[in-house]
Amino acid sequence: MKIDPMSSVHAIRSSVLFGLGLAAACQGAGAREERPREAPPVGDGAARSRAAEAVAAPMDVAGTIESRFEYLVAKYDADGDGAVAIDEYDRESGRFARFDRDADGVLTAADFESGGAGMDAEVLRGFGQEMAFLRAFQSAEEPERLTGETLEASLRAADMDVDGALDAAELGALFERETAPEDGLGARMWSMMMRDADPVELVTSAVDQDGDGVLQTPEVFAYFEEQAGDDGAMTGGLGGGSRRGAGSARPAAGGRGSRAAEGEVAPDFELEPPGGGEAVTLSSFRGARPVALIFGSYT
Amino acid sequence: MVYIREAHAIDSASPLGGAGHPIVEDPIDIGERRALAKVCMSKLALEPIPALVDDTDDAVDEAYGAWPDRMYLVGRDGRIAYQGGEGPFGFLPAELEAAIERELARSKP
Repeated sequence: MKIDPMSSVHAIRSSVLFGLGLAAACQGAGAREERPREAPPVGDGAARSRAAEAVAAPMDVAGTIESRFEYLVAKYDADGDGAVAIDEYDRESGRFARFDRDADGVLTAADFESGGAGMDAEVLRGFGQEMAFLRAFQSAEEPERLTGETLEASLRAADMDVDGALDAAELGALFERETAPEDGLGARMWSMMMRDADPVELVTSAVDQDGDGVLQTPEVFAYFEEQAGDDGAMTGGLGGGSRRGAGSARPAAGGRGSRAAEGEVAPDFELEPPGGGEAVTLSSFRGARPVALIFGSYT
Repeated sequence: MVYIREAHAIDSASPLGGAGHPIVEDPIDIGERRALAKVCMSKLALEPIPALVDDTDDAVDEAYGAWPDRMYLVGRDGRIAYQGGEGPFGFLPAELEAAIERELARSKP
């Protein structure tokens, strides 16, 4: 991506903070407090035309369809029975199984909270727990990446009465630390996610296996090991377990981003714009202009 | 903008969707990913920023350790002048801005 030096800085500042799904996430977090809407019955005239719209432009459903279940029915329900049977679904069966909570081979409203309107509260809570854990133990030097060493150091520093465990007060104190810049994406997501939640409760519920209300070091490390990626670190990609390639057979890169360190030659690539057409090669800018790369996705 | 693998597709291991958050299935081929990138750039008003789409082998994403979001600055010399931290905690537009200013000052043609 090439940038015009004069306007780039302002374009990036305003666009990036409000793009890359942050705008969508902000709307999502705000809407959590609303009452979930009922999914309209299939067969209703207005629903049918919305469904037809969704199928015609399945990627463009925001504003027409607000529930995951409604989306799936609009896209896959060939026999019009208001449910999606596994033979109506044409993607990987592993993905179907993720939706099919009661594992009965059919996707019905029962597989989704509130028929799928609104976000999945269980999933959101899991993300909240991950983020709170990361936030509690992250270092100020490298807040985006929690390694075993950092975790150990943070635990030792936090265990004020040196009893090998963290109680609620010691845990609470960890959240008082200022570890990440206020204007970063992490800080914004943090304040959105913690609006209705208590970070101490989130971490305790995630980690405290024996229910004594205190976090023992082995319990903390057990949770960390579950969440850490193949490189042994927790970063903030929520649902980070998916970075281990769930849903795909991709092997992990040897040390994420290891080919792309400061001072190294930028890994070259040739990619096309979304509308197709002429591919752009990164190395073609060498000697001509700097290139800012902003990696992200809609969700 | 380099458009990569979805952060929260509804059929992924880290699903979000509904209540204002876009409802998106994981693209299964480059055509679907390109269509989704187009929708993203349009809906989030990012069209002034040129976009490219990573192939579904996610090769560029992996080379840069990019998922879910990350920023880099490649200098005029073709070397990485700034490597941002992994998102979200490492995603800091102010840092990229500073890196751009440094690079422009450093490498006047």
